[in-house]
Amino acid sequence: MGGNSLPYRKLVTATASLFALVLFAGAAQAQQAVFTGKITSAAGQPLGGASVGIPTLGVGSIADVNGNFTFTVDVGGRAGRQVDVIARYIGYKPKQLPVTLTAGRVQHDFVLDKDVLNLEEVVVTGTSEAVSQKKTAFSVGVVDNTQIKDAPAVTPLGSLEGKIPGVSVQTQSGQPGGEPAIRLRSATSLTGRTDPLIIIDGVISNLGLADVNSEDIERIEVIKGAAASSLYGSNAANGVVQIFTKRGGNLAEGQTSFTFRNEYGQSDLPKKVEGNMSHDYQVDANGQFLLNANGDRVEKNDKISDLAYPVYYPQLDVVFKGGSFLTNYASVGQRRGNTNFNASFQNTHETGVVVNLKGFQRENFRINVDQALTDRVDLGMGAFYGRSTADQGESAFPFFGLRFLEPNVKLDSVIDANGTYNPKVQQPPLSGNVVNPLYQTQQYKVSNDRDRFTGTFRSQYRILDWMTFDGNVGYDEANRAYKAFTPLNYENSQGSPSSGGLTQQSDNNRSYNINTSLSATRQWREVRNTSKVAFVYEDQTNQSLAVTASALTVPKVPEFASAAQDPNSPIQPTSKTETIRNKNAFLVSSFDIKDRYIVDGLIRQDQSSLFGANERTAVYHRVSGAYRLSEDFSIPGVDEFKIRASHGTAGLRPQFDAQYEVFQVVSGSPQKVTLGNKDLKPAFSRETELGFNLNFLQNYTLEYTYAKRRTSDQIMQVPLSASTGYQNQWRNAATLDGHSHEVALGAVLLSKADYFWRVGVTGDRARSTIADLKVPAFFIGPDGTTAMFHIGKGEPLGVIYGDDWIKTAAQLDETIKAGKLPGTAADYQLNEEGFYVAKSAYHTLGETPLKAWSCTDAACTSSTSVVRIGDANPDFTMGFTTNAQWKGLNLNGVLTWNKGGNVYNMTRQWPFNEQRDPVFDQRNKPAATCPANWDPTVDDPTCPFSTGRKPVTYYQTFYNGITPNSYFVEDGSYMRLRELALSYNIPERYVSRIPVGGFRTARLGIVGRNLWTQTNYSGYNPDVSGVTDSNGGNPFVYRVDYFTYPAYRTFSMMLELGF
Amino acid sequence: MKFTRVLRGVAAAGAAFLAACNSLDIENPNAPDNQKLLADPNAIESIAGGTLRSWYNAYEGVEATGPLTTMARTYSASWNNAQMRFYSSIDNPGTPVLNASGGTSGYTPTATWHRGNGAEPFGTWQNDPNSAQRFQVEWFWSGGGNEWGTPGGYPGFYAGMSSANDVLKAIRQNGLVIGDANQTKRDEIIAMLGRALAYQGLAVNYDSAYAIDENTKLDTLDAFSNRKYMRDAAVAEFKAVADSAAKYTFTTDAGWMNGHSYSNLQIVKLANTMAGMTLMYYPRDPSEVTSQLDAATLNTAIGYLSAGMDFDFVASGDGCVAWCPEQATWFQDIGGGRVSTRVSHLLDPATQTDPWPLQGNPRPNSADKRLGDGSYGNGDNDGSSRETPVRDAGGGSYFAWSPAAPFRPSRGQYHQSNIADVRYDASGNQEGNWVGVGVGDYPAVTAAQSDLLLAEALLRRGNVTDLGTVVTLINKTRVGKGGLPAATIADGVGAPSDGPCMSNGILARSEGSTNSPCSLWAKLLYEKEIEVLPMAASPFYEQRRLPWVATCGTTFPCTGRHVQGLVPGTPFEIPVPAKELQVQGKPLYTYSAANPKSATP
Repeated sequence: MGGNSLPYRKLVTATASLFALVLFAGAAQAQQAVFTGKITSAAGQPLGGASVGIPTLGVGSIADVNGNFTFTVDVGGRAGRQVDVIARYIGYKPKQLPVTLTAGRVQHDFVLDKDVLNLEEVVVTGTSEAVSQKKTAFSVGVVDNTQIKDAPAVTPLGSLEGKIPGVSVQTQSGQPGGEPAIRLRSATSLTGRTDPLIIIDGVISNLGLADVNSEDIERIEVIKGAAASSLYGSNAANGVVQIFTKRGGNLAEGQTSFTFRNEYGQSDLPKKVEGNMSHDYQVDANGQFLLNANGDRVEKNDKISDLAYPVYYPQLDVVFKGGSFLTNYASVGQRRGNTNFNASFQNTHETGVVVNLKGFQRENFRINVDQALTDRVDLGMGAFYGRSTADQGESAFPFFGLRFLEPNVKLDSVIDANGTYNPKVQQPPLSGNVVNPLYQTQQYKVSNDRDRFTGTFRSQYRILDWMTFDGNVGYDEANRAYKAFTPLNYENSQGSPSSGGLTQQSDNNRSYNINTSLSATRQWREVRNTSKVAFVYEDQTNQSLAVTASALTVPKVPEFASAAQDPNSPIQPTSKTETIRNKNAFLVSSFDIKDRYIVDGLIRQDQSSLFGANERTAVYHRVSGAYRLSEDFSIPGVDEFKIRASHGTAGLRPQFDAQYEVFQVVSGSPQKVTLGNKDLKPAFSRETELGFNLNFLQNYTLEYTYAKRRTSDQIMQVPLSASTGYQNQWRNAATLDGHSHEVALGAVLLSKADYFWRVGVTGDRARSTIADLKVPAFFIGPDGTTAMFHIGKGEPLGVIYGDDWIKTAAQLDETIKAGKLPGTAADYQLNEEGFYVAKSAYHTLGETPLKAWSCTDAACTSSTSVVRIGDANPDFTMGFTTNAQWKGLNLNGVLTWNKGGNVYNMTRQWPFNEQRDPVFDQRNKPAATCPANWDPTVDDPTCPFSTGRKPVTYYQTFYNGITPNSYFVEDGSYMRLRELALSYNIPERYVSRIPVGGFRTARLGIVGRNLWTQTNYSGYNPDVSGVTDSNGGNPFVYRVDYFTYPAYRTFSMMLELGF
Repeated sequence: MKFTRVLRGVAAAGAAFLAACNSLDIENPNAPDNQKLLADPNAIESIAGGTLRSWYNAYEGVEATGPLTTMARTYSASWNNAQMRFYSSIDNPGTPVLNASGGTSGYTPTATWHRGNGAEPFGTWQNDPNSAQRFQVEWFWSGGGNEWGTPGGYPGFYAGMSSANDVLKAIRQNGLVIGDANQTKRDEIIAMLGRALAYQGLAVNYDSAYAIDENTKLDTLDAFSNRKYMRDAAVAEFKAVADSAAKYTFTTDAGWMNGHSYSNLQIVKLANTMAGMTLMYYPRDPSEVTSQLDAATLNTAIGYLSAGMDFDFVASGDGCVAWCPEQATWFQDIGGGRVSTRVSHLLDPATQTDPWPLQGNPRPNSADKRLGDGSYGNGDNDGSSRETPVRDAGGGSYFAWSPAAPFRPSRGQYHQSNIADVRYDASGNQEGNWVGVGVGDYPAVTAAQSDLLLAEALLRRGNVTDLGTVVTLINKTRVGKGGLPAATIADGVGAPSDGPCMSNGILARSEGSTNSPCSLWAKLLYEKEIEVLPMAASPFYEQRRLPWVATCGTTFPCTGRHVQGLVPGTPFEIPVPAKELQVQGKPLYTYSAANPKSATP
């Protein structure tokens, strides 16, 4: 991997590392030039840790804590040669000093100006070498530690939201410890996930980022599609997110740094969604329910839900609680001589907001060490161990049952001395689906424990001044232990005891990759070329073992010893092993001509065991270029203007078992499932990216990128004729086109000695269209039963289909024409809610909304009720960031705006069958008094229906047998204040008075996450993504509210100490 | 010096290449493939046996049997699991019932019940790829996941058919020998049985299908065969099974029906019953009874059924881990589906009102011992829907009464009932492991079902000499299980339009009369209502071909109570699923109130 094969120190320290490779052994030569000096900021502060050196000779040094540096050059045959001495420091603009090499001493001090807009930022992802953003030929998004440290997200992906255009982060669940999904630009997959390739310190990670803590991150680089990510081949069409953790490389020579950060706060649910607070049962004079002979409540004859319950209990208040949020982070780093390191520990605990659940707890350890072994050999290693546990509230499913409860059910009543909550919450007449969430979360125990180890080892050998060999080995392992225990005699809401059950699953995923590369950098006059040839080997093994006991015989023993030894309730073991291997090679070459023309090209060949046996090889390429216009043309007010274009290809690998013929062995008998496909290829994405970067008026930056991509050979599980006996086959069966616009504006509005204020605005709009589909159009998602997203040729990806209700005269006419309604339009009329109803039923018990039908041919010989009812794609998304400093005060904020796009609210639809939605409550409509013997089947102007009150049967029509329909399509727009952090740097004179620890710096702050959300969406969160089917599913398409753990807000205090 | 360094670099790179010598040709260790399976005798044998499991899980799947039996008003459920409520709902709220104060206390559905009466989608198979109800159309065809998460769920009849063809290809075309010749023949016969059962399931449910055998070229498969072809293919295959099984002595492995072995002679009888059943259940509506159950067909059916089962064909559920009598998990559970009041009224017309009244139906006192006084088990007076009176001497052997009826009446009073089917609850109190959680024995086809089909065929043939046999067959359960007065020839033959008898010996259609004695037909129909009730979707096949009978006669509409036949507007058969039509590039279609079935082939 190109990025992986670069020196780690480069990756971490950016520019400084270019010179940190100098070797001092053998320096005692006769002809030497000795460079000394001091590096300071414009304000006169010494910049310890700054690098200085001569890149073309590969020599340099790191400034000590006072900013002083010294390095020596063996002049030898180089005497008289013109070279540039360059000084760099992160966050500052580099300076260079031309010198003619001669033996002797050269004294020069460097004064560096602040790079407030990060214009000199150096990136390595997707490039052949570390290169300044000024010279990249494609868009590379960067989030560095300064943008993370004030409000570090529990998972690093959360840190990207709103900061890089084209990056969409989707919270699939608010559950503590949950990992959001991420999509870069437009979709690349019709039916599957679109997660980018994740690389952490050179290790290709297939195991996600949930285990990684944000405090360790030095920087994150993001490239968004094939135009940039071709270097990473068949696994990179979704883009690449590369994470670099701290290594101590930024420290000054001899410096030791210690940071101790604590954050503690509270979480709560900012919004609570109540159900229907009224009922439609007959009551006596005291408002108590009238019961029939069997003890059942009896419905009123008008079936209008407009009576108050005799008693209300605060159900949401006893299920949702205020939770706590805690993180402790300790880090120590040091640079001394040829060694630098950073070690850290992080502990985090989020309880979440559901009572009885402990939430998520994680402890992480990380150490990174770099060592210059000889004058030409550097070594580096890193190790990470993380351990986490979560009690998986979503698995207990309290969010489902909670939506079906009548408000007069007291959830927190207990039935024994142990405090067992009462499971029997059904009331006669009975209803389905009701459960007591308190009983569920108390009795049904789920644990999800993970541990993760990542190890890296890298070496770099400078064979010649212009040729370098890099070798990296990365190892990544995750183990997961999942346990779900349903105790013996666990009761349902009717009080029926069960025989319990126990499931335990162990997953072991381990992978390693080996990268070797040979890099050469040569300069011919004004042409500088960097070329690299590399080989990458990836090897991954996934194993899982699960055992399920469907019946228990011993109470309160959550182990298999209690499992029933009954052949009719067998203990069922299952296991799985997957081995995946990839062999990849690439050649990349970049030309920098006169510092203004950048040309880049690469070719890569991937071979993967995931490809079908007849298609084991795939080839990718990239051609890109950039032109720094402002180097040739002087434009008033313009500091830097670069135009760029890149075209590249990349792929998406099939999942492990996609190519194989699969028989499932059930009860000892093989059963056909999937027909194999030896011709299965990786999906092939080709992308063209055009854009410019404009820096103007000293303090402003503007970046625009347009990307157009086509992903063909979509890997899809397509249904087969039942006659084959197989259910499906994975095929390359579709082409998806996408295009996106991305804009980023940065501005420094204030930059004085005591004031600094920088703002950033990002915006993007992405669209995807299904250009080709080699299978019949179909519906998919969000789960195996409900299918509402239409996959059809020419159709945008993300459109929602379902039934619609007649709201217009045109719909009414067409429905009548289709023969789906009798009579003429005159027989129907609009009701108060905007729906057409039968005139004969208007204001009667029989009033119901009517389903709209559309003709499918001109003569209307056939028709359909299934039409487009929504589009999950937002019109655009925007992010707003701000960083303001005033003396010791620091304010950081991130606000995101998602404009448009529909959410399908299944959390409303399902409880409609049980009258649990607030819309059933008719008490806000005028009442009417009518004769006792009125006939509800007749429109009587003195009776309740005449005021617009509707019977429960009217609203239950929208339930529609759980089939998707337009009633539950809602606007998913929202604006959310995701991060707000205010901190104060306590002056050192006060810090030094702390009697222990010897601290020199201290920062006190308050941090808010998800503090405020503005939306018209009726559910808990508009940024939802429903359940996905067994094949994954696309969380950015499946914008379905599906009883998920609601996102909550957190407000905490922070104290950071350091020296 | 430089050369040495270059050599070192190349050597280091070479070492890395060595690490990558592992092959990319990786086998999938998690699941076998065709190549591994079809040449292995043991694997082929397990595939042969597996065809029975495939069929049983599909045949008993509530995803199909739930909608069909509730549409037939034999079972009833307000649960919408398996879309039962959706497909069994009607679009007429009924007539208001005025209470003492002059208001309405509820709505009594009347015989004017109708599905699809201008209110789509009731009465229409939702054969649309977007519909949540599409699975019910697909279930018997291609299966899917069931609510229990059974691995492979219901593979559908085609999965069993395909597996059977793999076995038959291996044995017949590739000459594979499993053990010895006799064992090989046994496995071949079981594969043939699996295939015949698949043909049968498709023939009685769908308008057309593919009848695939081991010689069929799937690549060139295009047109579907009509249902008559499927029927004949099924009958022919059952005959072949019976003929072959009669020649070879064997016993099936117990694992093939999860704990139950069957001899070759029992396989012969099973095949005969299934062949006869296929012919008898083939007619889609009363008019097709006339045209499709002609004398020759009836004679053929009688031939098969006369040599049919004298045992129950049973599999044991394992909690739906691999074996799932899923219908039982819904309808052998007091808290789940109930016996429709149309049927419970037959059991005890004095107490079990049909339609269900708002005040519910009181505890029964039926002359039929299968219901008795409705007491059951240890009593479970926990206030839930499982509440029952403690079992006493008058408790029924099949049914139980619960004072609680699931769900609100606003979901449809016609879904409500106080009578539950607990016939196969071996535990006796619905606690722990019982068939309601998928554990224990549950038959797919019984001797009683075979006998009653034979009795029907004999009555339809109209030979007076058969009446003695008919009486014997009816009384096996009428007297033996129900303790009711025996049917006699003197009852008279009657006709299907008599509708069922009730336990009090009065015709259900004439219950207002004190002198409406039941004919043999009426008593046979009563026995079928009771005995065939839990036999997968069989009650639907029974009701669809019986004439509409209401308490006001046999003409629809009338205002009388519904007694027999499918509620008008109910589609009689299932279209080819949209998923299959799309794969084959054929236009989508469905059956509905307006177009309830295909033309008679």
